[in-house]
Amino acid sequence: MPMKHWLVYLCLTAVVVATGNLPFTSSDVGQLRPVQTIALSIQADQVVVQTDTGDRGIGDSWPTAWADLVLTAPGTIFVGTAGFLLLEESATGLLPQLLEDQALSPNCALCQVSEAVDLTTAGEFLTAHTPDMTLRTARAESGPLPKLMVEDGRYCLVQPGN
Amino acid sequence: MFSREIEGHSLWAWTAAAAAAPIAQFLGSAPWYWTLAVGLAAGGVWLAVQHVATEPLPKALAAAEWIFLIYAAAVAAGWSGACWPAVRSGWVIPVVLLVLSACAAEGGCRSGARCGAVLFWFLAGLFVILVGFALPDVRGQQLLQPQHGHLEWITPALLVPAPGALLPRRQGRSPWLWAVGLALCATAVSAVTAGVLSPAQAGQTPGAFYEMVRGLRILGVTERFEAVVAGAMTIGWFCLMSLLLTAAGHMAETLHPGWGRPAVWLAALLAGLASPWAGLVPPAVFGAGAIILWCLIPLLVGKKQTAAADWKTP
Amino acid sequence: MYTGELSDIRITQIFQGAGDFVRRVVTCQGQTLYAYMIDGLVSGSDASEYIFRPISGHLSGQTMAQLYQNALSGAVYNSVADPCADLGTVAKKLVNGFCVVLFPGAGAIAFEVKTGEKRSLSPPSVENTVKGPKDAFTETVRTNTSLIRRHMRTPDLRLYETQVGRRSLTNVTVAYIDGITSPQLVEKMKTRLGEIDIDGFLSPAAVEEYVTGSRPTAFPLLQYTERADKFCQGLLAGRVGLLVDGLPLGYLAPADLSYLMTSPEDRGMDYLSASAVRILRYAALLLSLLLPGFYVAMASFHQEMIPLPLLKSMIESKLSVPFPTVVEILGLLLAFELLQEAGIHLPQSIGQTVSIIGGLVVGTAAVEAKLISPAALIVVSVAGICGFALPGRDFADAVRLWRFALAVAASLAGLFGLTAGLIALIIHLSRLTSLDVGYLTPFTRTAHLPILRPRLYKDKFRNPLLHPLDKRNQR
Repeated sequence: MPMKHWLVYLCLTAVVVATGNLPFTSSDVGQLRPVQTIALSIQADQVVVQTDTGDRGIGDSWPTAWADLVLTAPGTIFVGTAGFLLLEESATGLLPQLLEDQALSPNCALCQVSEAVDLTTAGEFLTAHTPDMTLRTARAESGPLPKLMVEDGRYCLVQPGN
Repeated sequence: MFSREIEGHSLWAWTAAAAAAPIAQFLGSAPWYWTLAVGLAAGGVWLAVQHVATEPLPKALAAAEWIFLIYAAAVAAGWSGACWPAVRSGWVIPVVLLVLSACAAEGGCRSGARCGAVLFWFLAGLFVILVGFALPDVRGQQLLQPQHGHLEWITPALLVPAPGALLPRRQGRSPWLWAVGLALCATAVSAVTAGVLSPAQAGQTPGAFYEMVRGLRILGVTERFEAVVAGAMTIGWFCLMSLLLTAAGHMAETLHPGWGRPAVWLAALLAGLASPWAGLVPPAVFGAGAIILWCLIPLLVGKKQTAAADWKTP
Repeated sequence: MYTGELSDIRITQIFQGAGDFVRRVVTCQGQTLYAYMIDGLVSGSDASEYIFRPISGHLSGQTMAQLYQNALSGAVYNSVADPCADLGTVAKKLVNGFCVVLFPGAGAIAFEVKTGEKRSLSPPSVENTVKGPKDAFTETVRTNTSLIRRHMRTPDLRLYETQVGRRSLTNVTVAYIDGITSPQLVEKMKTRLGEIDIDGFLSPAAVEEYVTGSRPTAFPLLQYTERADKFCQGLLAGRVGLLVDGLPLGYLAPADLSYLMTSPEDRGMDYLSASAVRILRYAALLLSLLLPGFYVAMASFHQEMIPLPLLKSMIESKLSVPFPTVVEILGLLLAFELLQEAGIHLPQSIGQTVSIIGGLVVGTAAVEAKLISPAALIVVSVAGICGFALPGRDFADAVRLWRFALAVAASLAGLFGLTAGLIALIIHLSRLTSLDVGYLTPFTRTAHLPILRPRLYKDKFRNPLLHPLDKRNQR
């Protein structure tokens, strides 16, 4: 007599749920703070991370600064949607750490900025003028980063080789 | 009832579905020219075994096959969670898939084949979409560069669906098309991965195909749908484990009629218990076992039985 | 069934207490005959004209045996005159609209004088079609067999008649075409009917569960239809048909998934349009089944799959909604089911109004009151509408049930849970058989996927899964 499959599924689900071993953690979409643009800088030997959601984190390295941001943000920071990483000149040395981070999308674009910029407007500009360099291309081959310049309050993206 | 014949084309579809997950998991890191060569060779071996292998195997060999099938299922279970990188509990996904595979396998060869053949369409559709949308990102000149990838998994990955030849089947039409098609699909996975990522990156990254998919854009809208790919690979691992457990059930049925169904559940239990350690065995051992037990032995036994039958027939 | 000799006392005892039982004493050639009938099932005028008038005017004989023999041979010129060998046969004939005349000591003869009072032919209520015929089955099995004969005038049409149900004595007809339908299929159907030992065979559920073996599944294992043309198409394809007296339906077996996804409308248009509609139908099946679960998985576990502008919009719309996504979706699915159930039971005149109120007003009000988010409402509505696109109501009902299960699975483990649920569904379907034909078997034949409708002139062979005796349907 074949086993009643629904009984098997029910028992298995009960065991998994009762032992607290559900494979993934859920977070409802309403609680998310999705990040589009991330800016990194080094101030007083500390890595400073800022996002276009207005959150900020400080740490010794990229992972610790990001962990600090996640802990202190008023909501669930969601980095899966991050599209742009802006590195100030002081922070370009963090690039190897960023390339190792698996939480960031491989299509996350990289560019260098010379000064602090408004991340919301910078994100809007970069959505229209996407930098060529992404985490994926940076992993494949090293090269100079595109530069985001601000002149008279206007953004200008200089791709390498231009 | 357990060992009713499967129609040839549904067995090939099941085999193709079963091959999808190991191909996606391992062959993205392999050089595409090696994948093509080994794939065509493996296809030739499958065709030969399917053509020559007869039933049933002698009992001692059937018992040995049963044990190796459990080991293979344990390896597959161990790898099945790899496509879900953010998983919290490592044992849940393998256990769930083993239970599902046992539920599919306990219905016998025909019902297992129906499952696999239907899921083949889901997998085929999804992989066509993935490879199709990855093609514009492929840089052709990268394909000409040498690649130093993980070669040790090519042979096991391409031979792992071979237990299909152990199942009772009717010969389908044009099986060579399936064999060649599978080899070409595996090559496409390797080639597209190397073309998008770069041969060096593909060779160094475990699960390179999955890594390639992470940055794919479909119709410019969805970007990160690796969860969908992980779901497809889960289907592939299920098809593989159900094939292995069905073959294990059939071997047990060969040993003694009526043992098929309980043997499936016993095999699933043993595979689940062994899965944390099965991956520690070098892939070369797995590959050698697959060649001997799933290719050579059925070929030799089949040829011997055919020769004996020819000798007896005037 | 009933024991004892064929006598007036025994027949009267069987129907004692039945107010519609009529007993008439008739004298013929000095012999006393007894006539019995059930008022309401017989036509009094036909009984008078074709039974009592010939008995009194034409029937002659010196002994009871001669009277009996002459009546049987045509002296009583009714079109049907069946000799009744025992009490059981007499009882069955009486409840089937016959007038039974007892010739004491010689035997009894049943004359058919059924009343003409029955529902007239009408168009199908559910399986409407623009171009196809508009005659649908009725509750009278003889009317239904005549409809079939009108659509298919082959003398090879066979109608095997039997009765099922100890007390209901429901007339059941097995229809098949000699020379096409596999004899094994016919035998299986007859055997299944013969094995049914219940009191009443009255409801569609009784037919479907008992004939198919009462499998624990929500998926239908018999195809039913109101339409005589679809029934005949099924017979011509090599299927076995079943007609049940009292049900305005015809059943066809075996039924696999691809057959349940076909509609009579497919043959009412050209093959290109029909194929496009079929693809749409399968897409609707997948959407109806998977969309709610997929939304729950994306919104709760895999938000990275959602494009950023849409994600921001969803976050904004969910700002004040107190419930998590899975509660929203399950609640909306439940509300949808309640609306449908209410629509079935309400009279038509107010049913439509209630549906509009429920669908538009309540749904809109719930969104404005921030009880649910618009995205969840849209997802459930799309899934529901896709469910209505499926041709079989029973099949759509099964899909609705599994939709719940998949949404729960997705709420527990995201896309992995949805995938596991889908695999469980496929395993369940792979084990279903209808008269030993696998439910999913058409989809395992990779050379001939059943999704597209072939051009009729190329569709020269019958479905091999039915093992028809004549494999060709055109030369």
